[in-house]
Amino acid sequence: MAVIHEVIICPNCEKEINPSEATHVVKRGQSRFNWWVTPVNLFLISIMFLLLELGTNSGSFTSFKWSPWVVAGIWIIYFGALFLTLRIEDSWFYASLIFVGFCVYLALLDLEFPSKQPTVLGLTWSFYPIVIILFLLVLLPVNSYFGQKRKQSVELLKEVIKLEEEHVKGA
Amino acid sequence: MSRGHNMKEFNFIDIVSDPSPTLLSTFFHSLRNSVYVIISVLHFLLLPLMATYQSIWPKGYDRTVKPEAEEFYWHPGGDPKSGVLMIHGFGSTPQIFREYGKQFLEDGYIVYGIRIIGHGSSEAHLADTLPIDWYLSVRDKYRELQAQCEEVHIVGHSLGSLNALILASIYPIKSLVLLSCPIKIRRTPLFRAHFLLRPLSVVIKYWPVGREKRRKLKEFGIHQYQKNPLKAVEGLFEIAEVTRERLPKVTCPVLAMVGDDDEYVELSTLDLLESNLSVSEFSTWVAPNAGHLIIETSEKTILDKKIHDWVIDHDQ
Repeated sequence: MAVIHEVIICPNCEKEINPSEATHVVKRGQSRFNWWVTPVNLFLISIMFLLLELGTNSGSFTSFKWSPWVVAGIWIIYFGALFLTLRIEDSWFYASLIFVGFCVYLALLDLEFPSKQPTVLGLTWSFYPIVIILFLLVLLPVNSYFGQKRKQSVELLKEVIKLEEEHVKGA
Repeated sequence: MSRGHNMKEFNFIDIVSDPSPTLLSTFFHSLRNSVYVIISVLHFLLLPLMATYQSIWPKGYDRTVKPEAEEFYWHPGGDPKSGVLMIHGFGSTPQIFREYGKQFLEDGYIVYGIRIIGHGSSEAHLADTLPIDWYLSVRDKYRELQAQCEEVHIVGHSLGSLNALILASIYPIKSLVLLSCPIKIRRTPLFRAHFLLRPLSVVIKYWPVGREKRRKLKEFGIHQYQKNPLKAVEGLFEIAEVTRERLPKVTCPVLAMVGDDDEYVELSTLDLLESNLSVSEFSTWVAPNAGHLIIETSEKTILDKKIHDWVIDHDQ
């Protein structure tokens, strides 16, 4: 019976490792924080804003005006960013979608707090940021994504195989 | 203590101290100290903000290879003439070939059970790889083995068998063993519409592996992904397409085996291979009571013997 002397090469650092080592993994892309750190931080920030407005309302819990909008904005950004962490490669689509959602948020905010100068669609001040966001952060990225000069995956593979075959034949 | 206390951390140009301080040098000293203080304070203020920022900003996916998915490279000692390259299937790991590897090692072969890129780490990593990445990772490892011995035999399962066929169409491989080679995939409704998988993957990224299959994998002690990235599944169809075109260029002896109840591969794959390969010797076997995970066959002893004998016989 042959005795197996196992040589294990770490696939991460590519060095030979001792088989008795239980694990030899290089942690990459790992978070330095527990998952609950950010939601708790944001929760505390939300409470802070609500308390600040509570102070200006002389302790009245029924007449919140601006702080719920701030809190809603914070959580929209958080959930958007959280979603993008899970779908980085499809972010061209989801980031655009999130910005569209952000435009809707701005429009609603505008309806609640309009300025004196009306523009179009019943909007006032929010018309300008919405147009900028829609063009620069939604339409441009989507257009650029579809306009990429990229070879199809199959074509790439065929090309590499052909080149390799020529190289081997030439050798 | 925090790094903010370490003034040397900020790499400012040192002003050479003048033994007799002038008004100008005193001014620069005080200016420098003020800048240090401001930066230290900012540093303290910014650290928690940066921590929050880093915790919400997108992070990369995990590329760390799990210990149970590591490759194995076994050398019998001396100067062996031949080696066996073992290539696992889609979503799987080199473990599937460990037992076969031990047999070949006892017979004096160098054994290299390789891991295709994107496998053994995370599903998101696999989703980010293309067929060209899979092939190039296999090719590089083949070259590593080829540098160690004169002749290389390849045993491949599923995706591994497709890569093995492409390699054999370019390099002088001694013999091939193809297990559940998905060169002709069953025309199920899902697979008929495979061209939709990549666009669909923007919305539905993964498709879970069936409970029954997970149970089987657990039974055989094979570490495999619990869900398949749809984007990568489409890559499987692409590499199968490329492999079909390469079949006439394969000339080494081939043994092809398929399970009689394979859920992905049609039995007519064997006929397709026979009619398209330009091989001197072609042998087939249909494993009874076996699905795509062919090692589950009720005739595993025969399967093991066939793989083993095929390599030994063609090494003469």
